[in-house]
Amino acid sequence: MCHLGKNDDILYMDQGKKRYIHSTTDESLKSGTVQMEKEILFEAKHMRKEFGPTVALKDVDFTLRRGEIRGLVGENGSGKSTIMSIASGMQPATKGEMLYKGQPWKPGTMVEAQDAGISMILQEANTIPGVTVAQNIFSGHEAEFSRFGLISMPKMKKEAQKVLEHFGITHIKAGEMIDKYTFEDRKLVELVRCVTDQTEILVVDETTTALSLEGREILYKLIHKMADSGKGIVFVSHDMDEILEQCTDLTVLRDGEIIGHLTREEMDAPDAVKTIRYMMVGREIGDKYYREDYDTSHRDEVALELEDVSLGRIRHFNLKLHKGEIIGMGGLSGCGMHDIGRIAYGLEKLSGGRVVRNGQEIKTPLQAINNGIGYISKNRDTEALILNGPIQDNIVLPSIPALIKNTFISPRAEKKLSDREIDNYRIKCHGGKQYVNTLSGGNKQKVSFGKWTAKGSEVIIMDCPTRGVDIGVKQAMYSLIEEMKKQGRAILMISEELSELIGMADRLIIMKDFEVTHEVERSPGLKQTDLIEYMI
Amino acid sequence: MKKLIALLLTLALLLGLAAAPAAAESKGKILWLSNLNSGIQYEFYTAYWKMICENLGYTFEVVYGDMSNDPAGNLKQVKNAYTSDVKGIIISMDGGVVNIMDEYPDLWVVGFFSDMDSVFNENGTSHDVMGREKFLGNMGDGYISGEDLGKAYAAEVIARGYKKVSTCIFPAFAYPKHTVADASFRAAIAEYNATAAEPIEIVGDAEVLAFQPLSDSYFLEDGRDQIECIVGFCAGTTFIYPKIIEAKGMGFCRDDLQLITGGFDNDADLLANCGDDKIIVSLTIQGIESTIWPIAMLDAAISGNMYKDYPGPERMDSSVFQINSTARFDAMINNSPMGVTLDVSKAQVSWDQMKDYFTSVNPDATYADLTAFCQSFVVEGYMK
Amino acid sequence: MTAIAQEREKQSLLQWIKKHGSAIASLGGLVFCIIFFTIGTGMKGESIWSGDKLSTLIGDVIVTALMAVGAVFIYSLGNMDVSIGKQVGLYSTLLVLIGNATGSLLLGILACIVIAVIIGIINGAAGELLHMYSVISSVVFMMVISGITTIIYSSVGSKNISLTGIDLSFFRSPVNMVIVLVIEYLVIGYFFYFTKFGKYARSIGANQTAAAQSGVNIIKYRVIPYIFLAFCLVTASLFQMGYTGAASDATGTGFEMNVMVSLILGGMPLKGGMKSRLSCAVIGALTFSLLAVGLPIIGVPTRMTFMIKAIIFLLVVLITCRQKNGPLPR
Repeated sequence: MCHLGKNDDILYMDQGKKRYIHSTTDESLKSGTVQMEKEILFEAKHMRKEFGPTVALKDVDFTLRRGEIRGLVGENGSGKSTIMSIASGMQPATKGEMLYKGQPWKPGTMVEAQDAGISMILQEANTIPGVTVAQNIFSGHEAEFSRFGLISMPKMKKEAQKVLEHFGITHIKAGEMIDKYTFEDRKLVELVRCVTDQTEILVVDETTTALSLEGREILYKLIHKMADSGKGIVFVSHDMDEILEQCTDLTVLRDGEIIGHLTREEMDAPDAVKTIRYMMVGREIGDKYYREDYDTSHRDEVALELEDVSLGRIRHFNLKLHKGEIIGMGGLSGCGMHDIGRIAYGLEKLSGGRVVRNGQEIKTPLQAINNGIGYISKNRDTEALILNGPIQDNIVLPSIPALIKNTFISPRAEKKLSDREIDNYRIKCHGGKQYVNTLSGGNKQKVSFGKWTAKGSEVIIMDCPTRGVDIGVKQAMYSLIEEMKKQGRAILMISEELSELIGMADRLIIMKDFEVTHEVERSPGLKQTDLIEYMI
Repeated sequence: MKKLIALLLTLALLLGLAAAPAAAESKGKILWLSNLNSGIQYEFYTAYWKMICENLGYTFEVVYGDMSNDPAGNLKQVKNAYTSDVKGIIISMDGGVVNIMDEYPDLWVVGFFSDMDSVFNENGTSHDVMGREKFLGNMGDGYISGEDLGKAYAAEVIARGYKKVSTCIFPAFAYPKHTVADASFRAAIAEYNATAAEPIEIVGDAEVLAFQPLSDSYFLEDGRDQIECIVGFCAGTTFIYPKIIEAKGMGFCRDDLQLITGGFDNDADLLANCGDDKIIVSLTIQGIESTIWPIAMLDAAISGNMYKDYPGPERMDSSVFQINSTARFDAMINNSPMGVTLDVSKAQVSWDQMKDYFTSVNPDATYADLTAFCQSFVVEGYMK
Repeated sequence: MTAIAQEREKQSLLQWIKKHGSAIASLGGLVFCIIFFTIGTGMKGESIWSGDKLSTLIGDVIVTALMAVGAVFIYSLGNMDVSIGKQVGLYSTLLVLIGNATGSLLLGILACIVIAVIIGIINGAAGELLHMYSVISSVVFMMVISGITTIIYSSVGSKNISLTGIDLSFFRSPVNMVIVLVIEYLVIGYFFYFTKFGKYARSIGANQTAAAQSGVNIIKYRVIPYIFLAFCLVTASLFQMGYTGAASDATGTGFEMNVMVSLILGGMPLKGGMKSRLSCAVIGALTFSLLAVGLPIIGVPTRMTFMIKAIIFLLVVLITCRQKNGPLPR
């Protein structure tokens, strides 16, 4: 239980969050049964959704009342995102009916739904590149700022800045080009665009993983404010801690069916996490989650070395990664740790120093791959995988040179290799020919792991390996990583989730502002609180 | 939405196919490998030929030649349009004549509108067809010889009393005739200057237009701002005239700069600028009723009644319309078939007036008569 | 067969249709044209399957198909080459000129291959090295080659030239055309489907970043497809020139559009990627030629054939294109 306990230790130590918990709990305590009688805002009856042979939702009944912050949890592919994507007009249901504010509801497009008051913030980036923040916020509403067919940019900019400030966002300037901002900040702009005074239901779909700490604060504040004023919030997340802190109600899905509901009181029960996980996975997930040993020994052989590396604001960075060692790197997302991953893989042109493996300098990804290094990008969908391609082609891509016999690549050899990985990782699919974009997040990530195990890489650099992956799969991945360590592979694990770094790494490096601020060995007593001060 | 559009398009397609005319009983089909695909001349030729073909009992169809006269391109167009009832073809583009005749050895071929240099020049790519029975000769676009054209334009310049002129031609590799015409024009002017009190100056060498309009800077070069008339051997209405309008607007050239060239269009804006004291003072085009010639030749060949005096394939001038006075422009606009709207009935000869030149109607008709008849048309024909 | 099995059968058929939607649509277009013209021409007392018409069809399709098969490689990268037509024009011209000078095609072929490969390498590398759309460099080549062709023809002093003294009957035989096309298809097919060249090209087209991170040398594998195209273009030029034995300053004009239209009719995704198929080239070129040959036979006036081709083109695009999710308005 001790690992689960540690997981419960909360990711975010900010005081503000606790305030929310109290405020919502207080309210739910006060209103108690009154909440049950709150007006129904949205209702889905017998909703069914099929994607080809896959049934994403089987006959689901779902109700959302005013003032609720409804958490939706479930493993990848459980259908938790599907319900609200249908409600918000992204795709039609195969069967069933919906009621919104008591009226039959069948939106044709997301725009239609948004105008009617149902907004959804998605996992992927959805801003328009090449224009200003203000233009993004008011896209589709330019007419409000136009006179005689000309759009008044200053007026739009001023109004946009006002809206941003209203949301408590001060560091984004409405007049700047959107491209100037990070992925995290763009997500906030999207939030501002989606939520208007007319918004009745806000759907937050796995958005928080893409937000910085400050961004999350802003989002949390917003949803509580909305809930207090009688709107409905649906919060889809993988992050159990977050769900438990922010939501007033919780619905658990598994394999396209609703398994159960939890009230705030039930969520506060001491073994709530275990209960929910059990509901999600359908079996006892067991106590084992992270590594259980504290054996930090590794072989003496250095697998990968960064010697005095400089790039941009990173100066004279040194790192030695040994065979059979897991090094964890943590920090805030802009601290430079992601750059270290790219540097180690030869993706960046260094201004000083070098990356060495087996006495050879690594300057390009090709050299890295040939020397047995694999890299899983943080941006899984845009960099690590060919989404619009079959699983098989993705898995074998780095291994192609090894499969060539006199220029010929045997389809049978390709299939054999990819099937091996599909089996190994138990990737849920009909076969290697299935397209990756039809897979759930966890299964996609398995494919990107499979690429490098198929290649037999000895050093694996993983940047945010469990991003957007649910616990069942996470657990499997952790044991996989542990397995890799035992096989003598060297792993550089870069993550924004401190808990998994603490749970998995032999050695932990914390970065802040492109510098290493702390380095610590694996130990049972290590707590997130000990590390956070080095990050912020 | 997508489905709706797809459905509508499918409907349009089926309707279009259903509306396609059914093939009528005919003695065979005559194709025209056309160098034109729009304009009043194109409209007249198709309508006039269609009328004649109907009277003779043929069907008539246009094939659009390759825009750049590419041999393979022309062949491809003909091949695609070829059906088993095609008996003869009128060719207005000489690229690939030999290939077309190789491909369809039974097809009767007659040239019209093109100079057919590749056929009649001894080292032309299609010269081989000269010896073939199925090739029936060619009637060109006005004067076959560049010399005649140059002389005609020189006479025009002298008659109008210009003292400072310049010339424009297309590149020699594409239109060798223009270079010849330009030389002949210069010779004629030199001859005039030898005895004239006030000689005519030809400013600079001929300007070669590579199928591009006259350059914007043309009038800025030495002496050109004082030119009184441009002689365009190339298609001046398209390539020179618009640039003159521009240059006048900018004050780059004389206000009374005029143009002598070939080609005719019933475009109202263009016609408004045609006449003695306007920009375009003279337009030389083929006498349009000369179109009777190729169809009469094909008819004789297809019906098996070849003119008894037919000497073998020849190249000849067509009749020439020199539209070079306000009265003649008026006659073209008001009394010819190619006025503001097409009116075939205004042609100088009707079916009844031409039918005796066809051997299928009149077995005694002669080649000499036909040719003389087809070379006899003048603009005055519309002035009666 | 039990009811369940039947149901499953039906399901899997539907599945299959959904998955291969664009392939079926394009193949469907071809099948539709074949049936339509077989009946349509029959009603007019002609036959599209007569020896004459069949050889016309093959003659019409051969050059486009030969080019398109090579172009699939380029399109799979998500690239486009608009210099194809002018290149074919130049190679045809060179084949005639060098053939007349030396009395054999061999030297001309070699010269063309050398030039084609050089152009291909520059076309392929420029986009990546200079960070511009690769189509731009092909536009530059289109203009440059057009200029060179003009210079050649003005120095020759004629708009068209013909090859004499060499037996070109090989290139006029429909049987040979089919044989050469099949050989080219097999060779290119081997490289496209069973070697790293094709696999990498499609990966680059689908997601260049992911391909680079998987160890694909982007520049190298962006250039190699152009070299395959170069060989296909020279082959196409041989047949283009060989049929008439002539070339002109206009030879090849607009061929790049024929290739593009054929590929789209064949169901090729214009943004390239994993769904690129070699069969698109042949299916599309055949459909295109069937329309060109078939429509006049059933009595559609030449003027209308353009319109009908446009409508069919739109139909195929409508059926095969997929809507992309745009960003949301506020």
